[in-house]
Amino acid sequence: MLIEVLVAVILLGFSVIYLSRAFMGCLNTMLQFANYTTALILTEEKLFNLEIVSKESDIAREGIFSENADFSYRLEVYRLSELELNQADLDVQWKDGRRSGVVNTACYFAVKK
Amino acid sequence: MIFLKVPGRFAGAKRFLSGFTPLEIKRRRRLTVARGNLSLTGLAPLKTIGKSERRMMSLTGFTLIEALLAIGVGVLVLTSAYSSLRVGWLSYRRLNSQAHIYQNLRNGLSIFAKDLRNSFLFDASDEYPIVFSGNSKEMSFVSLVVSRNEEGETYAGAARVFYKIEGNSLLRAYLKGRDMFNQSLSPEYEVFLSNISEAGFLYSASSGKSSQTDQLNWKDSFEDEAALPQAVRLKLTQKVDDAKDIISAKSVILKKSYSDE
Repeated sequence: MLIEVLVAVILLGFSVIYLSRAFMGCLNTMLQFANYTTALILTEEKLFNLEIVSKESDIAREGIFSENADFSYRLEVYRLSELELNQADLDVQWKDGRRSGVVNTACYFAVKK
Repeated sequence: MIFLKVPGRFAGAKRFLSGFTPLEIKRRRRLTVARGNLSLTGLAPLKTIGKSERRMMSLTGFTLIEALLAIGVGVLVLTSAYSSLRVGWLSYRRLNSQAHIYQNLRNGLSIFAKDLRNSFLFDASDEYPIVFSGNSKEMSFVSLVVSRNEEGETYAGAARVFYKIEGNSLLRAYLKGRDMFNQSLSPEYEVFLSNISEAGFLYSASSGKSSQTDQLNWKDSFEDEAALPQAVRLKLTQKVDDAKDIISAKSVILKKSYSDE
């Protein structure tokens, strides 16, 4: 009967749609994982640069990574008044199509005189 | 749906036997209209069709056009489903290999950093000098390497660690215990990172006695009997199938960089 056929087609359609959505979700997760790992490697490298820089004024506050132009960073440095320390908040961001991601890291380093 | 003129209580049951053939409704109408001119009915045989035969025709299932349409639609649906599945499968393979490379890269860089942070100047007699030496393609130094003894317990012991870039791989090896003093013994290298298209080590020598790190001056080689380099950087590019190359760098500040410490 027509109704049976329609119900079968609708069920099949829904199952195909949800299966494909699950598959696409899996692919997106893998892509996010790859981007996240890249961001972590770039973050570690940026923190290394923060550690070795001799003057606070030499620290670039934002920019794009030379290793990977899809990733950018934004850095904010605060002085912790009671301690001889600076706090650095580092955001490494990336954009992949409509999706974007960010890794936030905070670290402390000694005030250089 | 075709409604058969069956009198009495079996009329409803007959309706369900007729199946779903919408194109037959049109053909039935054409049959009714074109009595005596049966060539208009398409597939109908060129003979007089009686009422009982027409009734039988309504039970025959799909016509050729319906079957062709169904096959055409089915082929279209299957083709689009296959192409999307194929694209998805290719993306999955590409991302999977990329994810494995990233995972190996992160693990490898972590071990590389640990080896360098644990490195130290080996205070041996002049007979067995073991210094940090390196160029753009290989380096060796003394570090602490975690091993397992016969009872399965882990321990950290001094070892001479070797890194070498050969072909498209980064190789790692170490010599433990008394083996590290044996200059003639060549280490057994294992593949540490693969799919490398370009790689190199850079070294920054300490420029002063200050405990504060200065701006680093990277060089292609390092050899100093009295000191470790201030920092070591590994730059590498890895190839991924059907994707952009992965360019990464790992820089490590060595714990004891100054000879006077």
